[in-house]
Amino acid sequence: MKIQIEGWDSRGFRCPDVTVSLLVNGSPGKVALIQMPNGTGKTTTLKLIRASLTGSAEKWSADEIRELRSLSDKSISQGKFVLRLLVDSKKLVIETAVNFEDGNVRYTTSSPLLGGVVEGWQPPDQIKRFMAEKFVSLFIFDGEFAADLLDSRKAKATEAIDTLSQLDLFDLLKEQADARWEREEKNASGKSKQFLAELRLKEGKLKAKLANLNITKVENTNKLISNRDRIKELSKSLSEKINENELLKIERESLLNKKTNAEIALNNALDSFMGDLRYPQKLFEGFSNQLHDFKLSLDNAKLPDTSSRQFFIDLCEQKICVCGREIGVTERDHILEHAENYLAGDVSGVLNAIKGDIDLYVDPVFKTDFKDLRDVLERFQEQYFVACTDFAKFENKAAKTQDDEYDKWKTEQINLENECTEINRILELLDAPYRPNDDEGSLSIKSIDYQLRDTQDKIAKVTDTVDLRDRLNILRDVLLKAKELAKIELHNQLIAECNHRLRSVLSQSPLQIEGIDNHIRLLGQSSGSVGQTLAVAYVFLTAALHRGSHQFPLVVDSPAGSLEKLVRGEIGRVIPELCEQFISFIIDTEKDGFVPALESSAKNEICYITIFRINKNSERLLESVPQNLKNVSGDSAIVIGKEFFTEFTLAKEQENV
Amino acid sequence: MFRLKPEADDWFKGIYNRGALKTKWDIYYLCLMMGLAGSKASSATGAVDLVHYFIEDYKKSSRLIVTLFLSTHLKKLGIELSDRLEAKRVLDEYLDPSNSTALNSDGFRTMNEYAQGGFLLLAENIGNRPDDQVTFLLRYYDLLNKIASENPAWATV
Repeated sequence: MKIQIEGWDSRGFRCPDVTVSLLVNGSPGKVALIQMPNGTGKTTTLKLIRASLTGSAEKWSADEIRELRSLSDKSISQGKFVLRLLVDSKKLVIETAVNFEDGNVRYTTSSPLLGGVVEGWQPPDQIKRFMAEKFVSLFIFDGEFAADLLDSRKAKATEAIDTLSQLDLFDLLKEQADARWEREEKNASGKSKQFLAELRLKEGKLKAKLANLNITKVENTNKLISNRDRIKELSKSLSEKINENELLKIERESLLNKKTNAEIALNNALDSFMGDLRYPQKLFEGFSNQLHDFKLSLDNAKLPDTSSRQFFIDLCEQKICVCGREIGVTERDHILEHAENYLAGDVSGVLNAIKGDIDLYVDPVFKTDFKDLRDVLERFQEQYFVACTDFAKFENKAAKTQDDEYDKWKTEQINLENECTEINRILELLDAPYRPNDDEGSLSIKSIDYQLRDTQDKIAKVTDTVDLRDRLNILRDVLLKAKELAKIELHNQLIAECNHRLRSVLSQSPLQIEGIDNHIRLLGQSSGSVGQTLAVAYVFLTAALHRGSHQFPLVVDSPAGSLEKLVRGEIGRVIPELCEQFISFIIDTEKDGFVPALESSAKNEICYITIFRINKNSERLLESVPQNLKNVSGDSAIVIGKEFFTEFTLAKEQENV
Repeated sequence: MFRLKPEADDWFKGIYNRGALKTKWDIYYLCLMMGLAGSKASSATGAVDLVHYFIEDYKKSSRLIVTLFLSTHLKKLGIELSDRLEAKRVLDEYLDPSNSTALNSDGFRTMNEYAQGGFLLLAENIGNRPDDQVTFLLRYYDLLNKIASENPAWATV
């Protein structure tokens, strides 16, 4: 699926009345640069493009609609915005008509894929699922959204992956499976109506509770991640503050080294202790002695036997015994009866292996090495505690010499740590296992889920839908697991792909993604510069958007506003490689560094557009523009072409006054 | 199948899955040894599957673990290995040489009961759920030696 924007017409809105074409040599150019000074109606244009793609205008309030009315002609009663798209090279036109007086919106959709013009917002089914608001906001965005991807408080990155990868389809399937069973069991008549009604009431309550608990878990998990990130940031800032004083810095580093070394020594001692603890004979003298006694008893009892039970069973098949005597019925019965006194051959093998291991691993006399390891471990633990206490004392002492800002950060850190403890307590309750005496009041997700399944099983029994219920339960489990595995795999693939691209995009200041929790986590740092953040976001979004065979236009408001010139150049060079169509709403101050880099990469496939309000000052600017490159409508003008685009600056506009 | 009850899982949550206690089998082993030290077995009904084999960390000690379990259990049942017939009956009852653990289903079930018994001893004697691996393991070692030393079954060994 490939979606491209050909252009749009706008009439009667706050944004200029213009016809915008993004075509270069008859097809959508790889890059479209739309220069619109602030206050020209950029926000309105983007809002109308989003509304056309999502159908969201139907949800606008009357006041919201009136807010969009043209500022230059307050008497205008109607507005019309027509967005022209190409879907796999087939035209799709969405018209949004609003009545400012009534506050109404009416959509019309037309496409050969629909067989002509249809009333309402009716994009063809194959693209409808890509036109959900959540999805569209991932390819029409601004710098602020990009920063949110790396902000642990916003949890946008996983949301983006879920949406782009359509992982919610798993949930949709699960919902459909649940709905199917609900339909079946509701149609079935139960043996006891009252009992069934009670079960259904309970099922409803448990479902609602489960949904709430899951939301609580997600919220608390996100909060915990965000708090931990902030605590890390605060720790860094607090350390930096202390390090401003050279003497304190030296003392701090010395104590921190002691603490780190003590921790390493403790961990090594712990590994040795646990390694030995895995051998039972080292744990307790009695264990060691018992293992020896066991072997000794086997030897005394002549176990395992030199002959196995199978030998005597096989012997009974013979006519002549190994001693040369004939084996008759009496002898055969006698041998078979006593064969039971012998171990099966393979059990004998196990006993021999056990005896071998006792000889190999259990010392004849119990050694107290393990007790020594225990004492070493305790000693290292004490040393670690002392190092921690010394460091904490130093921090308290150093804190007293610091300013109010330090105190403020410290207080925030302590509060966040307390909050984390409370969140962990809540998460523990939510993650607790099911216990048989749990009731509907339990806060354990597993318990409520168990009770819900139990109730549904009872409903299934009463309504004779057990078989269907069982099959749907399997389907539900498979879908949950599949979603979980798909998510992990997608994260891993995306991280690898993004890091590969980042090595090229940020060649001057390499930055790598370490992981994706709910946000993009950068390797070795909590955040990058504003420019780096945007670069990572571009790379992440384009990598995620273009997975599979789908292509979407990337529409970005102020793409280079916050970037340093060097980064602008790097981003500009790489964007044409990241997507098939890049549409950028830009102001003149962003052009420096960014546009030349785009040009060097996109070559001749760039469409230059400048849209501005006409006033006395800007009228003269237009005079030199050839007629075929400009279009003036009411108080606005649109000029096509690189020359005007490059020359146009607010300063020049001012000079012409 | 080695199994452990969810409450044991829950109790160890603060120290499991990091540092030296990397696997659930570590938790199972600690419970089992405590159960054997106290000769205490308890029903493991409702226990959740772990694995059906000895994990890599316990490969070398696996037969010693099985032996200690068997010998403790035989002793509890009052069976002397010198009674050849009885010993053979019991060995046949708990061992399955075709299984990599050498245990059959009764062997697994009984061993799981000792692990559950050990967990109850731990929860009873240590009380609050542990939150520090080192502190817990030091207490564990001391407790195991105390319980085993006070257990008449080990006095004669």
